[in-house]
Amino acid sequence: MSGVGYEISRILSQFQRETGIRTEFIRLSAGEMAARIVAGARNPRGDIFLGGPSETHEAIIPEGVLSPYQSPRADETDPSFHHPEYYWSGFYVGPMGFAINTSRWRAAMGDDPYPETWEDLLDERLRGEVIMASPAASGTAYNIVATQFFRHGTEEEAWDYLARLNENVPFYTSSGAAPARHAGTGESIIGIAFAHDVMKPMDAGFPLALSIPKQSGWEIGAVSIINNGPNPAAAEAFVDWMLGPEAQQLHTDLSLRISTHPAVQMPPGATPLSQLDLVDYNYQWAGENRGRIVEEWNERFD
Amino acid sequence: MPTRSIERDGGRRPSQLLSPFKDPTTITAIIIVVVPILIIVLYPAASVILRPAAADWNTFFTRPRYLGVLRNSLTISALSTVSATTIGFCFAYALSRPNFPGKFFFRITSILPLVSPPFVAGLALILLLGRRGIITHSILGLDISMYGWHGLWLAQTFAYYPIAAMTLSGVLKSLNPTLEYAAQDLGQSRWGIFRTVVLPMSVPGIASAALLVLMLSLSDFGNPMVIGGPFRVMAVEAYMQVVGMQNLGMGAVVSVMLLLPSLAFFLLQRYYVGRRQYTSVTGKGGRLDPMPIPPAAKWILFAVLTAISLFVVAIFVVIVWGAFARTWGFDWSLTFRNFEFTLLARLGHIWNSVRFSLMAGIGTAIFSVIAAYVLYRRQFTGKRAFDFLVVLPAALPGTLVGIAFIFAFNRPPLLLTGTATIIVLSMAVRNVPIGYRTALSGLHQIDKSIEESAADGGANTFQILKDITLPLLKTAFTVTLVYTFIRSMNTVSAVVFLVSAGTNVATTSILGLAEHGYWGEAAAMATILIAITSSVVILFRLIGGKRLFEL
Repeated sequence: MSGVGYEISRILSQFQRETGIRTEFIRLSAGEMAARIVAGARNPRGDIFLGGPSETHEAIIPEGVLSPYQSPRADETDPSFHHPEYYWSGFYVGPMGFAINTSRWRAAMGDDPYPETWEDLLDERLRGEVIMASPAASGTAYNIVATQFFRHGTEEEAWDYLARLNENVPFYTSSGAAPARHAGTGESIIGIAFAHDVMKPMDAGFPLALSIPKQSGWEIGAVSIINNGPNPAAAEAFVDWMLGPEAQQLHTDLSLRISTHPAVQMPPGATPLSQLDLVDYNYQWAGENRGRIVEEWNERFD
Repeated sequence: MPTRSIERDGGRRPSQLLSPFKDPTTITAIIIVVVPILIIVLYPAASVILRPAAADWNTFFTRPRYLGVLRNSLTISALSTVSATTIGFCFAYALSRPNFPGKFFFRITSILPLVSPPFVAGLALILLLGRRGIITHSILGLDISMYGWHGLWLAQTFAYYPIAAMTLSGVLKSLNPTLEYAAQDLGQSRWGIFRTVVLPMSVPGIASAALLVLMLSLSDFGNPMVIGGPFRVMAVEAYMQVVGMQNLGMGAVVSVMLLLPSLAFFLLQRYYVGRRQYTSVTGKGGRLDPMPIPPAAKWILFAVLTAISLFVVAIFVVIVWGAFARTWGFDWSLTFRNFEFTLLARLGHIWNSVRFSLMAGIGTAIFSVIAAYVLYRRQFTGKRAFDFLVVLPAALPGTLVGIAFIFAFNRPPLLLTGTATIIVLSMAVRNVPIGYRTALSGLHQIDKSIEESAADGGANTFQILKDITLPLLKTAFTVTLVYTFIRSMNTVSAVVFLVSAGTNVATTSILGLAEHGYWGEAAAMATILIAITSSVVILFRLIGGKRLFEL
């Protein structure tokens, strides 16, 4: 089981309290988890792939490692929040954001306004100061990369943007949430991460500002069932439980992510997606092209 | 002059080598030792080496990127080896002299880093010297980054100097003071004595310590992961290939390219340096006290070692402090929140670490004692090959062991991936050489003096076994158990490939937290881990096991 980090233990102990089903988990970045599930297809050790952008789930459907499951609760949410054949179901959404270290920004950029577009990250004064994760390991970082393809007219333009961004990135982390932490501690001026992953270090007291850029990407965080896992009945029970409003409220309270369930309240400080300038993110395309794009990204920048 | 190496020494009775096939006990004993090694060392190693396609090899050697990573690995381990060995020598030299002040303190700081996972040094450096470091930022007002080769160099230096200190302390203590006094009588200055006697006599020991540190820093995974930043090394590259991209072929190539230098250093150690230990030949008794250090040198060394020791203490203080601080660098108020997180969410990982390490310790101790006893007591052809096979795991980088186990044990009848067994095996296999050497040196002690006199006094073989051999092996058994336990509690490079839901251990858990920037939680978990291992060390010392860290 994977994906969501800090809050996972609280969620699983609540699940056990309510259903009596005991669980164990391992936390990995979404890309690592996907790779692991594919590699272990002959002998699956887990039942559930929890969390991570839906395109990471989507990308491994052709490998035959996920099992479709139409939960009775799946249709309580908007149909756009789950796979048409229920290979994965979304339980949270979140836009991509920039975590800005306020004190280092002031020192380096003076009174300039915080970056509001992807192009703002290319400023020469930000050389070595923008941290993001590696799309090979992280679902967050793949979402950032894929967003560039939806934002630009041609693939060449997207690669060109990524190459110029690469000039400002000192190194790529393997965890998608880590860049927000790096910005928080001042290791870099800017970290690119999902907004909820920026809000957590903000809450913890780090001097951060969150900016959601124009044409931002966004994710549907998904849960899916691993094919031929050891406990298929418990896996379905878990998905049913996770898609319910109580579990989602708990998850939202812990993680500050926006729930897909209409009955769940917005986390404090979050902006509804409908009020944001979002890119037209095509999850199916992102999933289907993940292998090719990550490979080329590695070739160019790793 | 060269001493006899172990295997020659073992055969020092009139050699009456038997074919093992004529002696059923011998053949059984050999099978008990050799078959497991074939299955858990040679077979996995072979599956990695044979795994990559020609195209993978081609990619490695034609893409400048990979050769750059290899160069990074070799460069940083060379740098760390020089600095760690130098510091280790200073500690060992100072502690071997009668008039060095503060020995009790320095004896502790000379080995202190061993009770924590090596990458804790990397984590502490970020908290001490990073952008929001307590020394660099809060005290000196600097704004520097620790991520990169410089931070990695510092972290490895502090993580590995105890290994050099331990190796060299034995060498420096066994130098015969007579030579130094003789040089003094011949008119050498104090510096001259150091230069013409102490240093040349220690060269093989220094080389041996340096090769050990070289192998450790070359295969270090935790520190580069925590503090390497843009500076990529082979162990991390192999991890990214296998875990991040599931490119098993490329992961195998990278881990084999990590194995080759490691194996070369190992062979160099075994067949060159190991044969050139100097001993001074004297009659028994009448041993002089070691020559004192002259005052000027003493105080310079004292200042240097004090600075290093204070920094090491700072590493531990900062980890404990970091565990209690609310938001490192910004909100210094104290909190139990990080420990609450550890106890709520990660207690199972700590318990797994304790459980698996204990099993690995017991298994390694039993196996090592049997292997040593077989080699020592039985005469058979192929003894040298047997000895080589048992110590070979010392040459294997943890990364290679981890990847090899994935390849070797992922299908029936050896389907072990995802189980606790595979983790315990990976912990045990790498400590067998140390356990085996400990047991052998215990047996050699018997041979040299006690056993002969017991025989002279009329004791029969059974009495010797009961009253002399077994008690000595008991010591080797306990030392190996405790040593393997501590090393396994702190290991990360192999297990990071092998953990799964239900079998995750504390080190990989801490590494994940640190990599995410959850320093408080990482520090809290590291504090608990350090508390467990140091209690075991202290307990062991209290019940009389003094030899633990003087191997």
